[in-house]
Amino acid sequence: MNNLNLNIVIKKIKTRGYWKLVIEPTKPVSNFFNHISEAEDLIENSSIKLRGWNYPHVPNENQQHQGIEIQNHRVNGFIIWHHFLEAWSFYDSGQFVHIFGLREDWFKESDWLTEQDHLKHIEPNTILDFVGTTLSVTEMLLFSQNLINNAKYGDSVRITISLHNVQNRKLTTIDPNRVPMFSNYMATTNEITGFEKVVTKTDLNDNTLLLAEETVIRIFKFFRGFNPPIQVIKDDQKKLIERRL
Amino acid sequence: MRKIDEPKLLEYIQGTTEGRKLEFKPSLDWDDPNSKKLKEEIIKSIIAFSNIPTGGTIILGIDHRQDGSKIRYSLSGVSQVQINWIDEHYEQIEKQVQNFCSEPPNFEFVWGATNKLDKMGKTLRFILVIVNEFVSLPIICSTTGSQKEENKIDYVLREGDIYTRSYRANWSSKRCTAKELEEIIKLTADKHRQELKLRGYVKLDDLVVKLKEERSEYE
Repeated sequence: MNNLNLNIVIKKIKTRGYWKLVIEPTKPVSNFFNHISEAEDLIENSSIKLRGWNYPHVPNENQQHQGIEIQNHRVNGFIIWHHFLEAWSFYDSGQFVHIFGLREDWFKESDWLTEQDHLKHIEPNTILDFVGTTLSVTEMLLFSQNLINNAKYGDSVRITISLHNVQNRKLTTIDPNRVPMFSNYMATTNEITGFEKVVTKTDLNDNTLLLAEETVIRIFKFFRGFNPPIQVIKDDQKKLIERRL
Repeated sequence: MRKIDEPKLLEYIQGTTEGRKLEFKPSLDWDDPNSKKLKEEIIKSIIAFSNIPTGGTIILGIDHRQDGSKIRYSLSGVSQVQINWIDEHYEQIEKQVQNFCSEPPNFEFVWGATNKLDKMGKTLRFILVIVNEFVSLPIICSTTGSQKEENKIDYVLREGDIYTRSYRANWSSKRCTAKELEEIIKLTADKHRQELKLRGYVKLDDLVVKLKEERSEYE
């Protein structure tokens, strides 16, 4: 029996650091879906499949650790599995909301990792992974691009990308093959809104990676003293797109 | 200049005290160089009242002096000559006020007379400056005026300042604190929202509210 539900997952995600993506229509759209069951397919067809774990994750069936709910005016998806915690809703207004936990905050409880794995020893609420930030933001905007192209939004959408519960976190890299940070770059605020604007379909299609890069830089500026290395961000985006991660 | 009737004038004066929406000032000869500082204080209050919801009123012809912890008001009134001068030079005064303002403030000079406030039954006249809240954008001081005191670098009006009726000392017009600036920004945002509604963008406004409600469990 599946006791997990959307609210339980949302509550759990919010106990630690998490990302939030909101995609809103900029004008009312009647009959956004012909039938609400279309919503699930739209998310599945728009999801980003570049690095072993889709963004967002669409549960294919209800199980103990995940669920998909089709309600009158929305579809919800949720999962708590190892270090993957996600909850999303897609409403018949066209609004899509997704929150997901920072993976680095849940490695410690992840059965996926062994005690020998250095990730297993990362204390929750202490760090923000430099590379993970670039990848997550890029995936969020690539997904937004797919969704605006696949669904009936019209010419524009409002997109908001924010990072929560990050006060006093240290910006670092969890990849042992990279040169570590030389200083403690600490977050100066608890919530960071990296992207919040109305974008046209054309702008999103033409400049997805650039918009993601600007968003990542904006987020990194909230880590005192850190000078974002633009070329590294671009290279990580390239590796993601080319599935080299 | 419009004259208000006696009952209306008494409403403004009898039993009242200075506060966030009312300010008393002594009489002045607007064109007298010695009145320059007082004139600028009145302009400062016009800006301050413009920047608060529903505006406020300045009454000219009321002196006040500090008596220990109390303020004593005395009704000296203004002269008919002063009323006539303002009436004849209304446009000039408007221009002088506007010279200090980023946007034209919405204000009006009116006057009224009564003999009910004087013990000897003498007719007292007052000039009222009725200031309405700003129309679209808050008013920012656009020109620096006179020094408050000689040899001190502090001005009655200073370019770039946003004045309001203070919450802490509500009888005076001051530069905004953070809380007061927030009030002005909210007032501006509300006005623009109302304007969008009037222009037929109601559906858009409703959509924003609907979407916010929809995702409330994620907030």
